[in-house]
Amino acid sequence: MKKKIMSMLLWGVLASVGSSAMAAVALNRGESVNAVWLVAAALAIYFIAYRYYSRFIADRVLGLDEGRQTPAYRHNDGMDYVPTNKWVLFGHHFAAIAGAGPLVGPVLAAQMGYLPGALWILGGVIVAGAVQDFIVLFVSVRRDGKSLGEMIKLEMGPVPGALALVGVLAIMIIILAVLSLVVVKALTASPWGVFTIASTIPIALLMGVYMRYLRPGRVGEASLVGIGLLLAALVYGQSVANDPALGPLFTLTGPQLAWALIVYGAVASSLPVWLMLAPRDYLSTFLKIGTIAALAIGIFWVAPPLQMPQVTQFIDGTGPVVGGKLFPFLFITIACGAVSGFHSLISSGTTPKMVERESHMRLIGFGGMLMESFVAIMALVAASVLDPGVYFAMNSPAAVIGTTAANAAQVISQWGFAITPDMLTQTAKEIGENSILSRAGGAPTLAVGMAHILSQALGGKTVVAFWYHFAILFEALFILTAVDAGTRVGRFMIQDMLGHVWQPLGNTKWLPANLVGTGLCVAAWGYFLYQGVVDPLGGINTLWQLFGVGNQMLAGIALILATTVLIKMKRERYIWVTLVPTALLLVTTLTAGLEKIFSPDTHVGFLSLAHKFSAAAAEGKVLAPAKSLAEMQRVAFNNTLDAVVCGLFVVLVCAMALFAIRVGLRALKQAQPTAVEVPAVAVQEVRA
Amino acid sequence: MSTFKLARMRCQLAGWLGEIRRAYLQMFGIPDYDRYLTHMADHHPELTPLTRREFAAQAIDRRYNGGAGRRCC
Repeated sequence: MKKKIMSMLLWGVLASVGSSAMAAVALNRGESVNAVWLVAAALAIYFIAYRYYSRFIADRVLGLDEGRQTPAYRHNDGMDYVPTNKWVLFGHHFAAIAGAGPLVGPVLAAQMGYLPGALWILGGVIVAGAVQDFIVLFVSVRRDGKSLGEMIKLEMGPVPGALALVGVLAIMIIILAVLSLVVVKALTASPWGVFTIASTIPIALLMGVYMRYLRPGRVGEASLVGIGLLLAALVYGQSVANDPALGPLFTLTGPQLAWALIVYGAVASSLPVWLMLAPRDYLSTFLKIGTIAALAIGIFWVAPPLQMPQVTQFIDGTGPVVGGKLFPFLFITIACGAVSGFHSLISSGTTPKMVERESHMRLIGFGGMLMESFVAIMALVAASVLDPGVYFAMNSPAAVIGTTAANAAQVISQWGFAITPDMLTQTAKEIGENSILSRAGGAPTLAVGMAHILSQALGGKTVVAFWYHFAILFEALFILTAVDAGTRVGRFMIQDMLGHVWQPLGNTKWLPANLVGTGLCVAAWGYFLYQGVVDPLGGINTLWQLFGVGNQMLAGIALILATTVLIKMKRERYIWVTLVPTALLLVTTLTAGLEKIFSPDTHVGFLSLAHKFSAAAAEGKVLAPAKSLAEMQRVAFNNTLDAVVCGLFVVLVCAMALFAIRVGLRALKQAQPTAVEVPAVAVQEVRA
Repeated sequence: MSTFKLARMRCQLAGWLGEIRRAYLQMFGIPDYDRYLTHMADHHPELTPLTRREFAAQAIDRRYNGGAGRRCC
């Protein structure tokens, strides 16, 4: 009894801390708010959501059964299926779900002010994101660790299963293109950055050989050696950039970088995994966890004020970074961090095979996603502690702010964010770059924000440039890992599909078939990447939103599956737990998807922009920012293509919803549960 | 402090370090080799278990080949 009162008191205190912090963030007018309030509010909200909502889902909605054996016991082979300590598995799962997504989206959405983004990240993760990750993990654990596609096939039928696979492949390709574009935007004309990123390749190869032949399986040693070399390359990079002979060698243009990445993707994904992919993944995981922890400590230590306004005028859809009004475009610009469909692939990948007890899924599924959401909040903070003038200079396309500091400062000051050309050149100088203008894509902005915070915590003004390039390195490293791993996954999926057309193409052990698969996959994302790089309108504003639509659609599909399973388990009383986020996602993404295709506003709609350019081209006119008729045609064609991809996502998710309604109605009429679970066996029976 | 106590503490420390090492290897996708050996001895005593080197190499191949090496956006 005494314990219970203490616990209630504790949670009461936490709730009041959280609500007063949130009030300080949301209700403050005029004065700038300290970032610590936002981070504290977020933490309090996460703890309360975890304590109450995830427990409700675990006990009431899903009915997790402590005594029921998991696949890790049923198929224990000491290798893939292994009962794993829940904190270890939490780390494993978090390292797999958190990538560049939660870092980029919030930075782009900061153009609307920090409050809309923060509210969506916090609300979205509790209502949708964490629920999706948790329930998909649960559904997979109850089905021997099956993948999302297999589960959809199992519970909803073969046609929806095949549709889901097509959707996943399309999203995969868009993700690879947009992530590569982020790297290109960050490294264009930046010899320091290019040198450090390029040097990760020999470092990874060295680590690979070390772990394979010199000291097999010594991940820790190899990673320490790798990180040491990486830091050396980072420091040495400055001298390379300033060297009159080497500097120009590493100064690359956008198209050159795009080609370099395309070739890299093709070659890296064809090498044995131990040689480059695995060591690079270890390096990037180390850096990722270390940097995120450093950023969290840095925010509390420095306690920087948020300089971005709570809400800017750009909620009306005229923002220079990404087009479209707050509704629905905020909800697709921030995908990862609030809800990410991609996680459903990981929650039904290696994690379910390692879950020791059903109750652990609450921490791993729900808790893991809260952790990612926290990363997104910190990215939002990093973008919002910058001077808004600097933020907009970095993220607006050249077509809007021009290419000189003087011009950019004038345009941005007119928007109401006072900035002088001096401040822009000074910032560029501090971070060791020639210019900061139009470096869209999130990574550079985040890097400047992180450098701003971390340099105040450690080293002062003199090391801003070092921290900036460290942050760029950290992001580029795990994006390149994703490009390598993603191209492999894409190849397997393409080969799987081609195998239905001509069997030998499906053979993953046959080299020519592998080359065809890799070639097709790289060509597909390479095309979108290259077009994004040469797109005079910036590329990122198109591709990122396409990715957002795709990712949210996948989340919609995963939640549709979760809803179907709940009905089939005869738990329709609690169906709102998944139905509310499903509805939320369908409404926002279908609106966004349809607006992206059909909106008459050329700032938003693909087709209207395509029409505008092709009509002008037909009359022989050249519209800015295009410079030739050929460029005009290309803008028109690419926008039509984007409309088709977006249309594919819309059709897919609508088809899924219809299939789910049919299956759901049929299951409602049954008196008995019809979910296809592996029969329950008590834990003791296996152990005996 | 007696030498006995010191030795025990050192032993404990080594145990903890081992635990940490194992935990972080698993986070990186390399399952625990000792546990694999126990599993093989308990369930498949007739088979020769993989060596540590083979075990680590296989773990890497399985994790990143065959489409399991997904990373999120």
